[in-house]
Amino acid sequence: MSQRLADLSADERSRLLARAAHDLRGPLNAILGFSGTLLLRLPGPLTPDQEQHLGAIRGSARDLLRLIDRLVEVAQIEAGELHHRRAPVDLRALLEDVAAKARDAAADRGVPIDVQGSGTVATDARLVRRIVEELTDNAVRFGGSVRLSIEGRGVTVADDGPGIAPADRRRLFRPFGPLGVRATRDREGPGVGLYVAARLADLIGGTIEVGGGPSGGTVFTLALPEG
Amino acid sequence: MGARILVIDDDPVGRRLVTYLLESLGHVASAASDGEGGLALARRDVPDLVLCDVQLPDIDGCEVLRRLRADARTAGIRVVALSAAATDAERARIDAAGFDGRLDKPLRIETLGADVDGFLR
Repeated sequence: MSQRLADLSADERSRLLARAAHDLRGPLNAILGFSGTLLLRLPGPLTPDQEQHLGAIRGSARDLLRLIDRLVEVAQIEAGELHHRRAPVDLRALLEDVAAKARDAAADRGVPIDVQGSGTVATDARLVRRIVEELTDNAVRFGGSVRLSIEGRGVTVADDGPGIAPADRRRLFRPFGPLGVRATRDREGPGVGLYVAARLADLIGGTIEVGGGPSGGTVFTLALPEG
Repeated sequence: MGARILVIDDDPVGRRLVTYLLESLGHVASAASDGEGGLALARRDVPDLVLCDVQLPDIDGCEVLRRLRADARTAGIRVVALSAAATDAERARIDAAGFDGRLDKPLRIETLGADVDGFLR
């Protein structure tokens, strides 16, 4: 007897998505790998157009991988499979690490990322890193420049992009996203990523606030709970 | 000096990718599409390194590792897991099996050469 997706329990849905994410890695491995061998020019030289097209194939495959990984993460949160463990976390080092990883994609868009401030907080480093990664990814998509900073017990991710109308801000964290709010400039809108960030923030007992920057743009503030 | 490396992976395209990359790095690659075939080649050739997919059609990659370790002829071969795991729990299970390392799919091909050199050291 087949079961409808809606009838599956949270942990069955989580296992189904983990299985799909596993099975997608085979074809994505081939797409990323062979487009990569061409970009490394292992078989021979490329024309500028060929290089650009291969870069687009590779970027799209990476986006697909990130999307399915985010869906697995949401399913794991819903199934109660992600747990958080507190330990002292050097937020400066964490932000530097997130910035370093985001800089390749940011450089493609001409978006600089800088990091400010310092502080140590008792929290879950892995989950905070994932939240900041998603906020940074979103900021890079829309910002002319991005700043990650530590303020008190919180982390802010600010961009100087077009900004978000206050009425649209509360729609940002809905699971199926603010299509039409900010997603128009990109294939993949902020929908799933910001939803993941919000759910992970709930999990660690934190909150994410959205506001405007003093000179335009958008500021996301992740407030971490008192130890 | 290239190493002799055996790739065990049931996905033919993935197998071709890894053997192509290894050969372009100057290694000598051989390949098997399932666990039993891989074990037979490992016993015959005793390669320097085995890259073994974890989910194979006949026996699990962790079982391939166990049998390589249990046989005196192949016990000394470095064995690295090729993993398509999508969750931390599955990656932890693989890490607990005792492989000499783990390469996650999609492979980071830019660093594969350095990764393989690290496993051979």
